[in-house]
Amino acid sequence: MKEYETFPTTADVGIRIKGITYKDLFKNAIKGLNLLIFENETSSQNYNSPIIYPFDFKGDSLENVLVNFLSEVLFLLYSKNRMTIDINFEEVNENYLKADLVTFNLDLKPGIEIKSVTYHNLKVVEKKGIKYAEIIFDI
Amino acid sequence: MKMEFRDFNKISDYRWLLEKNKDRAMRVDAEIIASEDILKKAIEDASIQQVINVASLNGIIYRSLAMPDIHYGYGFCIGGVAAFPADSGIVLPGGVGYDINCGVRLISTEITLKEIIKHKESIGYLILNEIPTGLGSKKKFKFSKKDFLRIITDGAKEIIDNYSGLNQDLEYIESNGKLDFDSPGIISERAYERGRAQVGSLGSGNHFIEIQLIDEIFDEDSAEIFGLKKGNISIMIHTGSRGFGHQIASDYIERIRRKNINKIKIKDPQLIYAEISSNEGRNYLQALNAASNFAWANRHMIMEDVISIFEKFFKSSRKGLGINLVYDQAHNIAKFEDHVIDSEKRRVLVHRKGATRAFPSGHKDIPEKYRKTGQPVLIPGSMGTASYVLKGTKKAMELTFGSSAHGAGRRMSRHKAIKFSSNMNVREELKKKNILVFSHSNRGLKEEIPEAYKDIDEVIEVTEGSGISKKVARLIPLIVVKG
Repeated sequence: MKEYETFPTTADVGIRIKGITYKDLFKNAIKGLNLLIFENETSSQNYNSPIIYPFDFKGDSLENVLVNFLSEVLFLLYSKNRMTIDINFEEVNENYLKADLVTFNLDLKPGIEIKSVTYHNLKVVEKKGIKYAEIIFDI
Repeated sequence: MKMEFRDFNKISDYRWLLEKNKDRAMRVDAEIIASEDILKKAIEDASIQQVINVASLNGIIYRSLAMPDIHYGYGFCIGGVAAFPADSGIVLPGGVGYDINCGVRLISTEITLKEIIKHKESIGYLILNEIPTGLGSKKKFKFSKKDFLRIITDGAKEIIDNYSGLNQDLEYIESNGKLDFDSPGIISERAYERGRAQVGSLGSGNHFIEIQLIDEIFDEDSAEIFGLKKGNISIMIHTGSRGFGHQIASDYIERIRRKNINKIKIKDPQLIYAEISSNEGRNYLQALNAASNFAWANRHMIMEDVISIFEKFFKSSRKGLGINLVYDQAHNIAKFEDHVIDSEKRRVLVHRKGATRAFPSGHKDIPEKYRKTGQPVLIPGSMGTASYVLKGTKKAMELTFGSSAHGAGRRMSRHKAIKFSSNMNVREELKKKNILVFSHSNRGLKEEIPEAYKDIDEVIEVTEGSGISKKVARLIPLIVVKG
């Protein structure tokens, strides 16, 4: 499996991500989501004048943090027209994330409109020291 | 526990029962309204497992049900129906879906095929250009918060009072286009921000505005009462509560999860629930009502904009063109209703996710004009196939809490549909069938090719064969404007 990839379900779509650390997992979640929305058409995106958005969420599990984190990235995209491309971590553990989201003004047209991040079948599993997760989006 | 076809008892050709089973932790039986073929496919795609998961929920009444367009969702399957006691039961945002009060509206006209056929191209472009469609589509203006609050409080009526429309149309909208809402503080600022610019917008995905030909009547008397005449043009609108509803659903799944995740046992976290009487349950139901009102206002504004296009194009009034609202109904909603269960009348909260209300003749909650026939049941097909108008029945009250199918249901993932249509010019293919398609997104069109959906005729055959609705008319697409 790649570090991040997309997959279809009958009605919706998802991303599959992996990482050794929590940081890897969140970084790959951003990459996977951008791949899902923009496919490979990010070359014309202008990466000047970034704006940082703080994110601070304490949840009940890593799954809960991941859903809220991705919901934030989607809110910035569809409501503020900001594309998140990186994340600067302040603190991260299995149920907490404090970080800055690095965003740019969106030049591209998103390929799909995602309604929401779901918890459906979402479970972060660890095998041989690598964390894996599948996240399904409602579109 | 693995599910197999032989686990089901055949009640009739179109009804299948899975008896409650402790090993599956089911509290009630599950019933699937399906042909043998539809049932077998539902077992394969795991949507039956979702019906079983719902059957295991606390307090569920009668049966966990699935309609003939059953397919895999998250939490509930699409086409799922479940009811819980109004006083002591539970409410699940996952039993409604993210697009709260996604629904369908049908408008009849006295315009004939001959009058429109030469103008299909112009009318399609006008609708595409005038109505905001597609990804993140927004109106040219954003409502002030004060005005927006009136929309989510009064629903379709607010559009009629302050934008355009006729008061008489309210009777032909489920719940008269308004559910009780008086708690603006329970909705997040994010939801307001997402919603304020989106009233009157279609959105993307499977949402559409379709100009159709009424090409077959199955029940002359009911069609006449519904105002549907063979050879005339109808207009169908399919959309919901846009970002406002999506944000409310996400917010409340999170709020309820925060409160209950460690207290309750569920098979799928998407089935998180709250007691109806709890703060979270009450607030979610209030927020759901606000999103429902938004959706009715949204469909009403789109209808008024389409009517305005027709009036200008044909240089005639809505009265002159014989334009009338037939009905507007939700297919993603939870509502308090009275039903008879085991000979006892009970107040229940019915969740319909991808299922349409199908109340029969004589029911107090349907328009006076339709009390002889039963309410119109609107079941759209895909963009290349027919849509159907049916009518609600007493059988639906007995079997499915007065519910029916809501559409064809996907059978192909979007990814597979794009791959399948990679060498296909979707517009040209549909043009060969005399259907003109308009969209800002080629990808969106490929995702929505007719082949990606189940056979609507089979869904209708099962719906009618099971008795949960009866066919009235068939509508075929002439112009399709896709989100």
